[in-house]
Amino acid sequence: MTRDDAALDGLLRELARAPEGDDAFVRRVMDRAERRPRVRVFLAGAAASLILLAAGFLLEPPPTARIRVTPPACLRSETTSMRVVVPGRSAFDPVPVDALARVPAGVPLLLQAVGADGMALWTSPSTITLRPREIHGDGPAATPAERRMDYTRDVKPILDAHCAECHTEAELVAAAKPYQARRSPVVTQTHAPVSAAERGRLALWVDLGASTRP
Amino acid sequence: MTTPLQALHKTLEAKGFETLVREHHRRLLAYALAVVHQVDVAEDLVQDALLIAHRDLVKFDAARDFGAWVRGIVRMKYLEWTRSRRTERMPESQLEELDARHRDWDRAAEEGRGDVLAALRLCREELGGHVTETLDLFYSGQRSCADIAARLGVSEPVVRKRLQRARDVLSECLKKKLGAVHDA
Repeated sequence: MTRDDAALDGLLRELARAPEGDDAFVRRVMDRAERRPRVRVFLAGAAASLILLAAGFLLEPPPTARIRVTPPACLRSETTSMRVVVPGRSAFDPVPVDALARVPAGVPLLLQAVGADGMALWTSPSTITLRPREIHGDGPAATPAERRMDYTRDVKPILDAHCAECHTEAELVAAAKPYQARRSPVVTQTHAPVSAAERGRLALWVDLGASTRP
Repeated sequence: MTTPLQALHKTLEAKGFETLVREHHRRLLAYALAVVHQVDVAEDLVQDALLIAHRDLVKFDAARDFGAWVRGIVRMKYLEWTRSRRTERMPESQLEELDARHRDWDRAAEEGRGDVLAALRLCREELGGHVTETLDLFYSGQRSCADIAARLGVSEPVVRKRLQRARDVLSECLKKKLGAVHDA
């Protein structure tokens, strides 16, 4: 078919398709064009719902479990409070001896018996990881606040200010005696005047395992 | 100074999308029917193209002709359709020629020399009896040449000759009605 023929053929087919014009076709197009925004609104609504659902899932508080915090019998008299820690990362505020504490599930935890000086008298020999909603004991549970420990932010400035003149950072970290702040030279043998707050922070860092990881 | 987008918005405010569809849909369908020969497929291609145009109106360069823009979309949809159906497509050169012919007709309309479909309708009325009957059976009746031959009691080559003659006469008639542009 020549150029004229193909184009003319299309015109003839169109005239045959709708000899008197085709209002129905225009209406179909306009119906679909006007329906589109509604479909888009529906899709936008569905997407927003999914985002909200995902946000709800993400914002949902992490699962917790409850555990009775009891010190070893031999240390009961010296223990003033109990503490739950996430090794190398954070410590929960101390709770009374034998209290039921609400702690995060699915996270390896250590229990510590804390003395009057705020340092650990004892640290459980292995970590415990609780399942969501796992409960060890009846009664109301305390919800201790979690305090994050960051070596670079919380510890290094103290070491730099008071110890770096005589000791390297590596020496100090190696001498720290993880989980034993009461016996750690970094806490107990400071020559320089370290404030009580700074000493408490160093002690907590050691009792958390003396990690230097951020 | 008016930007092309502002000009388009003014055009749309003045006419509305529906008016543009009314003005251009038949030529678009004629274009689609020239490439696919199937009414339902052609209608789908043009509908889809117009919906894309409706969605992408902001991208449209108002300096261009709306019909020509949508024709480009119809062509794109046609190529997609041939790919999805793994069907043979009209050769590129023939598509170019088809586009060129439609551009000629666009120009004729712009210059006030007439609408090609209206002109063709008038030209058809000038055809002779046998030729008109054959043309009607082929296009309106959608019958094959063999069917038409059997119905009219003539051979298939005669049917083909009549159809070709009809096209030749109509083409000449359009040239006269639309003026010099048709000879370009």
